[in-house]
Amino acid sequence: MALEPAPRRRRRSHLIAAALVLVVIVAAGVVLEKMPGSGPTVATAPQQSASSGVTPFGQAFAKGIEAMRLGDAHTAARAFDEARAINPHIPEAHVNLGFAFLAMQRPREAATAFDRALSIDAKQINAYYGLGAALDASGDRKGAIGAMRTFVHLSDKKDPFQRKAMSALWEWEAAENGATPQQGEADAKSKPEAAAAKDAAAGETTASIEQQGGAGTGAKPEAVATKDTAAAEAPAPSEQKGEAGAKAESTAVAMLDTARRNNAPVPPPLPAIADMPDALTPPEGVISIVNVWASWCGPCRAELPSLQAFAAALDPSRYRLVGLNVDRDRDFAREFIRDTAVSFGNFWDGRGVFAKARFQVEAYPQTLFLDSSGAVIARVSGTREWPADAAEATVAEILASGQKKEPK
Amino acid sequence: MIETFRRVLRRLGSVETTSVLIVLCAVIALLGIFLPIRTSNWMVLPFALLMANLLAALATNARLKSQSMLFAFHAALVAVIVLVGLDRLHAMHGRVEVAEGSMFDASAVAAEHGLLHDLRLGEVRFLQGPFEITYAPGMKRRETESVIRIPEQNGGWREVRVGDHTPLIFGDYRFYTTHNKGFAPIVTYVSASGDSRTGAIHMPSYPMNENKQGLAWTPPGATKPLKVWLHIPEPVFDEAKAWKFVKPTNTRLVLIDGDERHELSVGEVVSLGSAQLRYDGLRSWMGYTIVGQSMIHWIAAASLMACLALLGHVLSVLIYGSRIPAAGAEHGG
Repeated sequence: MALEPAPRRRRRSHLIAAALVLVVIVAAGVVLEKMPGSGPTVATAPQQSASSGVTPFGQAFAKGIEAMRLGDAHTAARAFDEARAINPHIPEAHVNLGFAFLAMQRPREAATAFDRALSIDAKQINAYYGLGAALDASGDRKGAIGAMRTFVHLSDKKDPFQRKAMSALWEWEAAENGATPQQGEADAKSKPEAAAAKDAAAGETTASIEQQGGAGTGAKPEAVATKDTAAAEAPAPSEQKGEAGAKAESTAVAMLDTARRNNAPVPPPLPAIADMPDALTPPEGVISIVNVWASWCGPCRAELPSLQAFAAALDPSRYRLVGLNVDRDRDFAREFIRDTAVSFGNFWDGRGVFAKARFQVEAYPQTLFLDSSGAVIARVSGTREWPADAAEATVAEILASGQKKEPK
Repeated sequence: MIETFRRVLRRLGSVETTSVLIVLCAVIALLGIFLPIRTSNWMVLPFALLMANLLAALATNARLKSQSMLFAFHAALVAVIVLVGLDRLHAMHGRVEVAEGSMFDASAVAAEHGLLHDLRLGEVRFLQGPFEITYAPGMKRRETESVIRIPEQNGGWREVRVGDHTPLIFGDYRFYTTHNKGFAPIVTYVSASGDSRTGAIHMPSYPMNENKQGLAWTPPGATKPLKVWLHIPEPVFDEAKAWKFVKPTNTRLVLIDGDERHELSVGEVVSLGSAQLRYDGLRSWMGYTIVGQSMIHWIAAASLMACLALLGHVLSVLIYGSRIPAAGAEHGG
């Protein structure tokens, strides 16, 4: 029997090898694919959505707010009274009850409610505003002036009701002194704002809120400011009355905030350092300690609690500690500050543009020491211990560490 | 003519060409780490040349022809390359977040897939149940067990538990849990026209973004986004201790609309212009990675074949040694 030529034999063995490769791959592939992959099965019903729980106080209070929003002062008063009965120690329940009474044109009961609020918390600013309006409506002008002065003194200068309160004071004091306020053209167009304040407290609050675009339950002092402007530009009696409604409502919301926030106040919006570049420069004889930080920076966050205690231990007539936050979003920076209960003042420097240009800060955290000329007299890069029990000694040590004064 | 073709084929299948192409592929692969060329179609070229080199070698290389195991090894390599190419054309990779208590929504999947992949995620239906994640001290994520409920034809639900390594297999797709998960406030938004919609706002991944539970969110039909912040009053974990992922209680939803700031507890309503929004509660969301059923088993089989063939070749060299003919004997290389 003749042997096949070698090339043909080789070719055949190649074909066999290739076929074998194919067979093995297919067989192994099938086996691997059929191997079990996933876990157990249990028949069950779909999960019910979680129901949310609201406390009786919260329910009553929310009901009051909703009633105020709908213009039903009587229901609002009942609801706030119920809330006050459930928890008589929350001043805002009394404050809102007072505003509800004012809306019902019952100024004496309103004054009593505002008084109670102030007996619980003497710093309940909105209670002074309401008390001023209530006392004026009750005929107690002197008492009204006193309350409104206190409101002006305690409230933030940017509070949209500051202007109204001051206007009311001016009118009341002029009337007390026997002078009749000049009825200028502007005043002729819009009732004096003192009267607006009074009307505000007494009037049909929520109807105007609806008219003004429904600031609704969540109306805030910031939102009210917008309304003020609108009212001043295009005054109408109902709008002026509505301003007090908005105030009452914003008070109500402020109360909600306070009652449910573990006593951590919502800080005001962070002022942008770009708008006030000299704000970090301290007055003569004072040293500014500026901590440049970001919420996304772990070491910065770790340093905040000790800085806070440190700030509290410093002599405010000699040192002033402020934060310069470099987060991208100002609103979220504010929320972070609120969540972490940072209490020292902060400015906002989006993405650290100002800190880089003015102080050459490119890494965080950094703590700068500024003199009254605005020059950097010392700088701490990174974190360090900020011992509250040796605050001033620590500052002295840093200042004496030999760093040269940097050009402004 | 035929001789010229054979010469070109021999040159293409030569060991020298193989060496050059392997170096070229390695350089391009390395460059792909630093440059965006890895997404370029030209990346295929060197690998296609390598494939041609391999086929030419199988056709012309005398040593391959004379040694069956070596031949089988190279044939298996061809199979691996072909299968990998097919796999890429059929591949699909996606990511999706599903809120607890919500059905999987195929339109929410961010997917990349090959030219030949027939995307059929719309056929996937499941309900996200609760999930449990354990952490070791030092924030080390351990086991993830996510409960998935699959609707059955009889109206009931089949419950399965999936994890990072235990996928939910749905037809051609595999769903794996990931490190990506977080909290989802449930809100009901009533637009100015009275349309009411309830949905979940997926906050940034937690605990990775523990300090920034905020995002911009545009309500349905609205033109302007709101900033939403989830206020968590108490820390959910202590990094130094072992803990389980749990939903925080007493959360509040902060809505920032321009200069206005609203803060809602569960059940509270806020008016946003002429629309209204209610905070209904807090749930969590789980992030899944989705892998389209690939040819991984076939690639594994071909790779196994290649390994076995190479082993056989090595053994035959050890046993028969010098009796194996020299490489390139046929084409004179």
